[in-house]
Amino acid sequence: MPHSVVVVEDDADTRERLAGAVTAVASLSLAGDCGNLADARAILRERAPDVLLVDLGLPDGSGLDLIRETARRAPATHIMVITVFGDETHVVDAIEAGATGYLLKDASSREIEKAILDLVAGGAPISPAVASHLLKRFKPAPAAGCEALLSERELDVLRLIARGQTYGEISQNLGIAVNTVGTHTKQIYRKLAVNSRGEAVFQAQRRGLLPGTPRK
Amino acid sequence: MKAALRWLLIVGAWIALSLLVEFLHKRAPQGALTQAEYSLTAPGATQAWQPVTLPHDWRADKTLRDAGTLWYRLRFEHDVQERDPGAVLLWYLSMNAAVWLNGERVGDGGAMDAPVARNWFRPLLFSVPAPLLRGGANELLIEVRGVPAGDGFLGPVYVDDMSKLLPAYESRYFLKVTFLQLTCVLFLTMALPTGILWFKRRQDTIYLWHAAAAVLSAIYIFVIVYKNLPGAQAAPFWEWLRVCAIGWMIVAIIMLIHRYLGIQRPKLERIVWIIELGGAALMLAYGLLFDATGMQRLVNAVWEPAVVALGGYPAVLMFKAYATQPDRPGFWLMLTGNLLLILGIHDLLMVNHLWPPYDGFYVNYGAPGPLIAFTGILLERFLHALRESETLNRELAARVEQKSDELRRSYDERKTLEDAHLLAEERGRILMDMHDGIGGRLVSTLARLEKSGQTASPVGESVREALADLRLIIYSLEPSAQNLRTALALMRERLQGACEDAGIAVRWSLDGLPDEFSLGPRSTLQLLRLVQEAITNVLKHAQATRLDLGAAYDVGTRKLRVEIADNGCGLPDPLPAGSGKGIENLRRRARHLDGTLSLISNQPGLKIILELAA
Repeated sequence: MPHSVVVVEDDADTRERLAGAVTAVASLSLAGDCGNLADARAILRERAPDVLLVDLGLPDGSGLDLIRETARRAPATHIMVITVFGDETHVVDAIEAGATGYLLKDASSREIEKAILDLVAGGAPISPAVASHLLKRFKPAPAAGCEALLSERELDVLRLIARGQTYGEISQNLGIAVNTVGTHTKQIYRKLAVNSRGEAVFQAQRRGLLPGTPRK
Repeated sequence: MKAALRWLLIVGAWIALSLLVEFLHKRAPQGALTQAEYSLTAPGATQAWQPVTLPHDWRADKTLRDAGTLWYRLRFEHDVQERDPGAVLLWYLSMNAAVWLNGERVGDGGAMDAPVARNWFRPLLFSVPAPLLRGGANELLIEVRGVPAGDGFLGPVYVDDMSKLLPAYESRYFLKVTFLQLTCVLFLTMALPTGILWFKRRQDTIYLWHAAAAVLSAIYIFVIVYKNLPGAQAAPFWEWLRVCAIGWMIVAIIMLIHRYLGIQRPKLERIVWIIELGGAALMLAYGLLFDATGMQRLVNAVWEPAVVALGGYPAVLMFKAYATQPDRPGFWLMLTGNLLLILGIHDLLMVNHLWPPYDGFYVNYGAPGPLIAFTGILLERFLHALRESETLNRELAARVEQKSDELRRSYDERKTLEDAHLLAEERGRILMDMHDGIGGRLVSTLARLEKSGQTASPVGESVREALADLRLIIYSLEPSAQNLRTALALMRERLQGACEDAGIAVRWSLDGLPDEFSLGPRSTLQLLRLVQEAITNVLKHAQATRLDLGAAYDVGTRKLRVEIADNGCGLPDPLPAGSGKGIENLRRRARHLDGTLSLISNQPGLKIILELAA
């Protein structure tokens, strides 16, 4: 049975292209596509898809809200944020809200297919910028309650990603299977999402990254 | 030892200064006529002459108690050889006199009838027309008026050349008149600044009492030295005013010293005031209602001693203050104040017939001392206060400066923080705008082109390039991408897909870059563009199967080295016309970075090396 995919993207042409890419893959089925938050909620209320592709800037609100709602109501759904640049700000916000991957809007059909299938198979792509961001966040001794949030191995994976290594290179370097690398990254995403929800400590540490405040 | 020496010095100064005052009054010229006769009645047939030796003090003779006028006759021989104009000099007298020589009137000291001109203690000099002073026997007749009755005297008389008598007269006149007039002016001058100070600062009563003491001293001296005080019957009241002036001056000095030493005795001050004002009022009432002459006696015998005795109190205060704290102002106050007291006692003895009256009051000569000392002290205090306030002002200014510096610094810090925050926020907003705006539009355009199968068209190409460059701009601004390694890693992630699609295996080695190595957004962008350009060239032209990128920073030479190598066809030699555009772009970007770019064409493959100081 193909994996159902919902695309939420306000730009019609882009949405059409993404939907087209999904439809073109046999193992994927387009369960719905829409351009705003309200329609997306209506679709998702009916049935939680296997994969949700969501843009952040929607005409009637932020995609982050949809990510949060979906992560809470349908934990089994894989959420990918659609982003033009894959920039840190967007992706980190989305991850904190509960997304486990991101997809570039101008990715080729092949890339789209690969990203979605990887995700469903248990992997999750992390951009070097996001990895570097996360490393910085966990570099200072984590505050109480945050300790051992990420395992040593997960930190290793983040470090190598930040150095621009592909999952393949990482699996060779660490002597683990490529799939395991994907599992690690997905685990990192989940931990972050769980940890970020209502965690004041997290926010404080995030603020600690701002210049001017005392740093340890 | 040192203290004893100081005291010795002070006592020595008192004695020396008292003696100086006495000495100045005793410098009479030689050749005085002292043998005379006096009569109570005007010269006439029935006149009875009594022999007398000058100076002659009426008060010493009970028979002269009611004498208002006394006539003196002096007979003397004169050397005729002298041709200079002659002169008659009365060394001192009280109150006034008229002089006849050989029956001719030669002059008088002013009004002989009430109010009598007050020539007490002054010398009187009369010039004598040359023919009047004969060779041989001469007769000098002097009419002396005493005010009050019985209170007159006549001192030594000189008849000589004017040229001999004039200098002696002038020095005596200076001592008894000019000096006192100057003192009077000096007091008023000293009263002016402190009076103004008090007027402007009413709470500083020390200035008021200084000014009051100076003005009262001036009044006291004025009464003594002014010749023609008005009022036919007013003489006793002028004497009353003189004693009141000295009494109130002593009160002012008490107030002054209390304030100077910080002594608070309001009760005592009140009592002193009551004595001084009440006593003065009682005396005045007695004189007005009953007997003016009797009042004058009472004033001299009772009132003035009481007043002078009161002067002992400030003297004791100064003494005690100096004994406990021998400082410079205390020294001068001790010295001058107690000299005044000694001279005051002289005057007290004199007015009460216990001291010869001829040389007049001495207290005048001591009065400037303490007042000058106090003026100096107040001036010093004022200057000190001024200096202190200046120092305080400076300190205050420094403190204000320091505080405002702190404020400015904390404001600057806050501003820097806010700026950084604003900058971050603004950057976030711009990124968001780029993402949702231009970025979204470019992606959308690309999607539309793809739909109509124009992806490979020049338009599609240029949209792709624009999107790629925009992406680089965003990377160069990303907080994480300030780290060059992350920026290059991002680069790889972006190009990985395209390279894989083109069948190129990519290897990226960034381990030679330190953890926190950064070039700053501008140079990072230039470098990313250069790398993107180079890789795009490989993708387009090289027909390579491998692409290696290596970046390393040498901390020792501070040089960054980036190598991009492929195993493709390398550069054609020579370069066909128009195909050098990509290479030219690379060189331009290298120049922007102030770096050097080397191309090594290997056949197969091309190696691009960028080196720059960082």
